[in-house]
Amino acid sequence: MRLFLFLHFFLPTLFFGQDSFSDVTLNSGIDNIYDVYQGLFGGGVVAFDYNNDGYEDLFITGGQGQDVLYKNNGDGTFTDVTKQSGLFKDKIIVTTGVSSADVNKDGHVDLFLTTIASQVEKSKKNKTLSPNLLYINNGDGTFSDQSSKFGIVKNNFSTSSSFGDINADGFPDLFVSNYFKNFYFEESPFNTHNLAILNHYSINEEYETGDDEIYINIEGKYFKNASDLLIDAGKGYGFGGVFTDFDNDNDLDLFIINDFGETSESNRLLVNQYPELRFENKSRELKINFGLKSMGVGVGDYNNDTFLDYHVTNIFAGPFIVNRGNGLPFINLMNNVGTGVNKIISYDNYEAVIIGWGSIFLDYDNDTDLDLFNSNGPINPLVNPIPNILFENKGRVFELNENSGVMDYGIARGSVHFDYDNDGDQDIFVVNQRPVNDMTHRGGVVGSKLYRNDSKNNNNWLKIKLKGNQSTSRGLGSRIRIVCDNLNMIREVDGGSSHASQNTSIVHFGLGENKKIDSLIVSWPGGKKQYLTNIEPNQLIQIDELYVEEPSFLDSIKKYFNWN
Amino acid sequence: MNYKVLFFLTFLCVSNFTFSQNHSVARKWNEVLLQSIRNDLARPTVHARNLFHISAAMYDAWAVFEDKSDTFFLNKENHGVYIPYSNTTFPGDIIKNQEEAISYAAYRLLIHRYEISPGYKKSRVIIDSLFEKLGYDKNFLSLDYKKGNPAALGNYIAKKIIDFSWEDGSNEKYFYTNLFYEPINKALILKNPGIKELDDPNRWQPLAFEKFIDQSGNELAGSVPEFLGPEWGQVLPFSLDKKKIKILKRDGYEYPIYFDPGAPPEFLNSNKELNVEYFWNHSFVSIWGSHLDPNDGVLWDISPNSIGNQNINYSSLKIETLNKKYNRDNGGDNSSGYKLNPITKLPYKKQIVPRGDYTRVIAEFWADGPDSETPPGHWFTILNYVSYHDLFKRKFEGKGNLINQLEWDIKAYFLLGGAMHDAAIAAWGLKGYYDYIRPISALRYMAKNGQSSDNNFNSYSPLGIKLIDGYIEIVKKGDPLSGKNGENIGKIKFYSWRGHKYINNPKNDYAGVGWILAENWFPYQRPTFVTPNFSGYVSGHSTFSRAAAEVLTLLTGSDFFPGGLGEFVAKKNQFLVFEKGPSQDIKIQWATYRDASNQCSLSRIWGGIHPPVDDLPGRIIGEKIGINAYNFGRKYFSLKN
Repeated sequence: MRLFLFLHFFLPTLFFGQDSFSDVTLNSGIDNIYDVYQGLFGGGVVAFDYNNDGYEDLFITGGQGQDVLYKNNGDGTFTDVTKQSGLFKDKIIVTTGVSSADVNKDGHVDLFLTTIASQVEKSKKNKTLSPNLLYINNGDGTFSDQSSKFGIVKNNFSTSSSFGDINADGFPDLFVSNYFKNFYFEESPFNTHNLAILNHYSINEEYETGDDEIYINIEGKYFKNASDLLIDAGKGYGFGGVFTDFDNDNDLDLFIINDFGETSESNRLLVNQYPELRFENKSRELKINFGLKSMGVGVGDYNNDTFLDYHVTNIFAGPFIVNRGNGLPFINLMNNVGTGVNKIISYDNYEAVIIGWGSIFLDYDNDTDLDLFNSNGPINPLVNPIPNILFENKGRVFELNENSGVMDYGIARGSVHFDYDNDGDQDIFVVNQRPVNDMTHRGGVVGSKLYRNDSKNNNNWLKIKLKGNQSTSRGLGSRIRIVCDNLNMIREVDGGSSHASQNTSIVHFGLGENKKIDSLIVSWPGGKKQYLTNIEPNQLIQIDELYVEEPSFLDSIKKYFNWN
Repeated sequence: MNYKVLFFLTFLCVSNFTFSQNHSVARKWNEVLLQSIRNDLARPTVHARNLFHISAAMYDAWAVFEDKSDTFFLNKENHGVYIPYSNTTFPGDIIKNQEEAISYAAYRLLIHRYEISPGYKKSRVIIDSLFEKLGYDKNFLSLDYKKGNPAALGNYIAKKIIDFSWEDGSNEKYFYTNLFYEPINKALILKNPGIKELDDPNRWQPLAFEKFIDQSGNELAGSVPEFLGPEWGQVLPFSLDKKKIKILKRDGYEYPIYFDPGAPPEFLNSNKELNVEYFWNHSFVSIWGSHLDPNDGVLWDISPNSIGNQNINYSSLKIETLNKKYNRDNGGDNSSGYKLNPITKLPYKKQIVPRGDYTRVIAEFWADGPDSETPPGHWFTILNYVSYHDLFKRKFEGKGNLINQLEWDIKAYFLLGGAMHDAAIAAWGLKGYYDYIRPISALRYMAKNGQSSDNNFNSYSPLGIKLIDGYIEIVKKGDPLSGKNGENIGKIKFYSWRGHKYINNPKNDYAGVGWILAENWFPYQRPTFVTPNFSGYVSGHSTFSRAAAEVLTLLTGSDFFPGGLGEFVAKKNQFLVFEKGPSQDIKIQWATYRDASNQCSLSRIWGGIHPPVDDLPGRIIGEKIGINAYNFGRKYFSLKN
């Protein structure tokens, strides 16, 4: 009997070892769930330091419920400071995604929330399309809604947004992804225009696709609608866009992903023609025009060849889009690299089809190669739970990490990686939706999750925080490259990715056994470069952008002709 | 190829994988490689390259220690890449050192090549298990052979071959995926009858499976396998002469071609009507499908007494020439067989069996699809069968002294590997460039258009199929195929193998032969496979097989199998996999290596995947490649001194 007890006690650790991540939600004080009538859209989360105290906080959209700002107390716990921060909604505004940027460059990070609807009036149940929300950070722990002052006034059915300085003027510009062109919440005689009964048919047959938007930030004072820049992109059921420099020419291109791309507009890659303010749609030539139920996109150079690769989530496995560089078309290696998992064993041994939303490349085990995390969740209310997945990069192929500790049965949507406990490895936060149906016999209700990275190894790491002067405050979209011996690794500062979320803007590199970084190169959007050498690992370094005086016209001419 | 019932057993099951004490270390690694191929996807091009590189790695690891034989990669320049090697003295026993260097080279290269395989976990178990059984250390990673360490030499050889081949045009870096080729035609949806659309009836059409089971047993919903290897002509060859490359352009891309037999017959003739050459070739395949019934009363002597000794040379690929090579109505070729076994000086014993058993058994034996070692690997198993045959004498080219088992295996693998690699490059270069249609698409397409034999009759179209009494006819009123409401009247019907619809349980049922609607015609292949996922012209089977047969002939110094007879037994009601059969034990027999190769070629017609025009040029190209690769490779055995 004693022996039995003994074995029982030790077996799990003996045979299964330690999980890579631990669910620390309960102890962290986070108690959150995203609330929406029906489960296509949102929620999103941003990891950012709203009070500049060196600990990354979380802002989570709430759908028809409350949005929440969680202040990171620095001791592993978070406090809900929504009310005192002025972010409390006093009428129902159905928020979906969120992204952040220091819009007015006052050193405090602001928030942009996408919405699909709001109450017409506080007292009435009726809803209508509503404008998105820009909350300016006042720098004293509070935010104020300055949407209309900044020109954010269009009523839209928006799913997510991203920031990126497309004209390299130092002010973050904005992309907004819109799903429907219009939505008739209450006008239908048979109440068919109800989010709760949306399905393939009603989406594809009854609603027009939305017009995505681009806003140019005019010196931090207002946003100028420049959506005609997207004229070449077509209109799809937009689920997001990511600003990313896929062709290593130091300007931010735009990769737009759309739902129902098989039958309507597929995914689009718009190539920035900087210094000209223009995008060119090169999706077809570059073979990246996948027509899918695209719901999220992850960005990262998984094979350390200094070209960014992309992963798109989908119903079933999504494409793993490998960048061969040099203007060559992308190739989808989903069926080759091991991420092409279409079904997975889920709650009660049910074999669930993968429905992916968030996609994140992160080096969770600090071994120098980027791993892939996907937050998965069923269409709600048709709930059959689907666990999240962590794929470990094994060099040439990925392997599903069976002991990731992240495979719970929440209805996951947005997710981010960040380092909430400042211990040098990347943690994960996942927003889960409240199920519409009774979940008593299907695994119960699972709220949003904070997963602490518990990977145990002695690998080294480096974190870099950019502080822009002429560029945006956090250097959104900047490229950081480090060189250790023969190893070249690159990261791009996330200005908003997937799903409807934005990862930390503090760049993280796993270094494996490397004990020194030979050199580090920052390329700010527009092409300005900064070099550092001989950096010690296992620290967070801040790199302040070197101020370079704009050369005068005469100086430029002198330089061009080599007159000195 | 289903080994479960063959009397020389290789071990399919991982847990049963054992290594014979009598095998040389090279043979042991070759068996591990063949098993790794079986665990991988059925991709002949990739495996031909792996067979070559792993054989060449073992060859170099052996040749370093030899007085006469010179290395192939080490201290040589191949395709502009020089691989350095400094002469080194390795203390200790030469054979032990050779075995150690061979094992480290094979081990590292095998892992590198198969770590991206869907069956890697299974393969890794046997790769590790052999390495450990031989007593070597996985953690010994040094490349520094100059201190006289044979393990480091093995590691070094593997590393250098990996680096060299990373840039060899195979696109290994991106998992051998296609970088520019795109099919012209939309996929044929197999769950539906007929063919919905075909933009170009001269070009390859992908197949859409409702349910596709990949090599790891994963079932995927809806799958359209891509063309395997259309850009493989770019891969750096073993012995093919780069000076003879012709660069042909299609759809804006370049295809290097080494041997060009000219274009296969196009769908239309100059009058914009159905080209009879196109029709003849593809309908030939449905007609040979009518030979797949064991109960039709047709009995054949399938021994070398009646089959074999075929002359494959041809003057043209026109119908009149092909008609002399193949027997359309009865099946088979016009070969004479042999009056006597030249080794025993006795006549070959007749073996009278139902034609429908013979045809089905060889179609299965040479299928070389999923779970098999694919055609290039299949010829390695035949080589191993010969090399370890009781009656076989290990004399190089049949002359001189007996050589030891290791030397024989090392040299044989090197030569056969080189030939298989070249065959894949030459055949797939043509497949990519000509992109020629497969019978399932061509037959269903012609039949969909109607008939072009009688313009006074219904279903007439100048693009329709030709009618042949007894094989290709129109469904008329009162025909059992006419349908409940006569909906099939006017459609084309074939007299052929009836297809998977007639097989509920593959253990108890066989489809047999009869009249079926042309729209329901299927090749005699697994329902999860149907037709290989690459174009037909020229036949890879014919190219590989003939090249291998030439290598075996030259290497052994004899046209004939040991004792004048090679044999494999297919057991009654066990051997076939997707239908019942054969109805009795069938002994597959060949007198010569070329007879085996010719049989393999014919089996692809019965198997419904190649018309004669795909086959003959493949054999001729294979013959040239086999001889050329052999002569190119054998020079290395006497280069030193």
